[in-house]
Amino acid sequence: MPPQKVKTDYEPIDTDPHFTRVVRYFRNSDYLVWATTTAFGPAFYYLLEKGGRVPSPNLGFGLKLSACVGAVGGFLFAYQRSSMRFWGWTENLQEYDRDLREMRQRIKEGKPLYGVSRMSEYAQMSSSWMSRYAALRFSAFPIFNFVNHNNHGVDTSRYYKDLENDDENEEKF
Amino acid sequence: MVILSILLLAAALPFSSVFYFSSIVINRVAILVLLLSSLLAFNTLLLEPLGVGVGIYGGVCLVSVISQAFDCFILASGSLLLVLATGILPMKSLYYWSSTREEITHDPLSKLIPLILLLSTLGMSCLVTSSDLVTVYLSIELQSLPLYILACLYRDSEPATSAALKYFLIGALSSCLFLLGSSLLYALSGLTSLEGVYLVSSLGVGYSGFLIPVLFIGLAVLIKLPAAPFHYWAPDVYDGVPTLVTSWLAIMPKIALLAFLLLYQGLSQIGGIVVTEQSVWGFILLGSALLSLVLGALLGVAQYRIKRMVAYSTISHLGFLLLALGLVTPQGLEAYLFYLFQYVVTSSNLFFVLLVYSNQVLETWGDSTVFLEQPKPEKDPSEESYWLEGLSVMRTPTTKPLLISSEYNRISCFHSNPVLALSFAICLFSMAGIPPLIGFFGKLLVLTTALDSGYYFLVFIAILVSVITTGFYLRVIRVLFFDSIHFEISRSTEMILRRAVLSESDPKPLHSMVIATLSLIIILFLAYPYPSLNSLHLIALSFYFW
Repeated sequence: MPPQKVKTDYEPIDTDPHFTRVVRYFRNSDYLVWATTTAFGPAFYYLLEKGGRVPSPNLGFGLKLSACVGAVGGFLFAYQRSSMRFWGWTENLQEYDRDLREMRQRIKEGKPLYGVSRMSEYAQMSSSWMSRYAALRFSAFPIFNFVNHNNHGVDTSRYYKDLENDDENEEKF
Repeated sequence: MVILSILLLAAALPFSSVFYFSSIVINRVAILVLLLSSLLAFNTLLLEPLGVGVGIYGGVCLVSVISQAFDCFILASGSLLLVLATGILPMKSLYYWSSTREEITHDPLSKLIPLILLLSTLGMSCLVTSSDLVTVYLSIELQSLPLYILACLYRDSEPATSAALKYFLIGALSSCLFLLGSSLLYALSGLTSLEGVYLVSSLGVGYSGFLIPVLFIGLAVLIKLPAAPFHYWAPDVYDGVPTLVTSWLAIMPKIALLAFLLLYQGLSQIGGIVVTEQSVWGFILLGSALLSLVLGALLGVAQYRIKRMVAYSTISHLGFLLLALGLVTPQGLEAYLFYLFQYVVTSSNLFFVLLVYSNQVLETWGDSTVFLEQPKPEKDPSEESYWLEGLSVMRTPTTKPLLISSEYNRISCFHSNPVLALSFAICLFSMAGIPPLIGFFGKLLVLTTALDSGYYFLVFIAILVSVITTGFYLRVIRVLFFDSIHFEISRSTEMILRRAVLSESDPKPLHSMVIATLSLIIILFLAYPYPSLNSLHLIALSFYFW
């Protein structure tokens, strides 16, 4: 089954990016969102504590627990934002250029574009079915892609375009 | 997020004795979880890419603008309703026979309640994105099973147990019908995907037999809602279960099931392919809407118990919702979405006020040495529980059944906190559809859309029914503000009421804040209606035209 084509405002980079790739492509704003959400957890808990007029026996534990939840939520927020840039749903010029550079580098080094997997083709395809666009349902089930499969729903010919010219330019430089 | 948090909280629970934390901690963290999850759903609410819907998890879920909007709304509503359970007192209402405060705080079951509610919310969240018969069924069960557990919290009360059993059996019947319909659909098409079934059935030339399973599934959902004529379980269940659970039952599953009914519209049009120009399902929806309107209003008038009255009022509101849904037009969908939004806002506020009143008496009971020394009630446990339910109605020694709220409100509610009584009245006025409150605009949108579609008879009935329902809302308002005591109360009852008046048991700041905010939304919607109306308009258009 081919990946679904979605109408997007920006050029998609990868519709099912690997977990490490998504995290590596976090912007500073994503880290800021993560930190803010982590801080929001205990702050919100404290607000409920003060507003509830019923003191909980162990405030410290509640604050720590809410900080944990805030950190998880913040990470999911950051991951979702980064994923949407990969899908081309939000502005992604910075990531597009970086991806192009990195992929061309891999081609030059003779490495496969999306890494190597020991899983069978069918298992790789099945895993991509489960994790493609899964960040849309992070509110319920966070599912990440940990498989180096080759089903990414984008045209990879752009990585090879003008590759020879690039080499010549680099040699001249 | 929700599933991760459930696992995190479940892992934290065994350490409660080590770290000494109570159910309040779990409850507050659960509120945070639902709020963050709601924001996560909101973050992906993008019109352009989600317009046609994106299939995920191998096609068992379909994420679209409307499903994400419902997901966000469900999670936010869940977060709001969990605020009801903040603090020890509502928990005490669940465990009123616990003898000491220590016992109440550290009851292991009370810590599970927020987790149970999170599980139920997870089921609702999954239901609105499900596009496969198996996931739909599993989601419905996931949202229902935790509620069966919550419904039977009053295990020593006969009416409460009876209500819980009734709820469970009705849920089982509904599940049976759903499974029957699903099996028939699978037998006819060989598919479980809703879109696949729709495509296969659309290719059929003659009568393909798809109509019957589609109706079975639709009826199963109507039973769960509960829409008339399948509504008889609702008043008994709402009245029997704890008020905290009633608030959840009256609001949360309805949003998810109504969202599913909307998403099910595509499949339900199958019935129209062969039989008539308009789908049979459309007729069933409109018939159910008519019955819900009429029965909800007429039977509601005869009720003297607050929670039964709320149940019939809910059925009447369902009539309006089904009427808007049965129109199958973008305007009808817009009216439907707006009505649902205003219903959730108004009902949430109503239950907040009811729980605050309930807490006032609870505090009095909790501090009373009589209560602490009193063992579990033996003769009439129901009476005890109704008292602890606060605004529920108790059977009195007099022959004529009367509202306990009559004397209780006059003594404790209105005089002790006039602003809260005013908020209560605003909720009831809004539910009655009195302008310029938000409820009026909900009814106005539904009725004008139905008029435009040519359903004059239904509109006439709906207006008539609105007048009747206004009668029973006004009766409560009259009791709230003007009635005097006109029956004898026992010595112990009088003592409790006097203590309730004397106690400084104002609502908690958080509850006050929520009640004030919701009341302001109800009143001031008129001042700035565009953001909500425009958003709903876009969602409705995306559903039909994208």
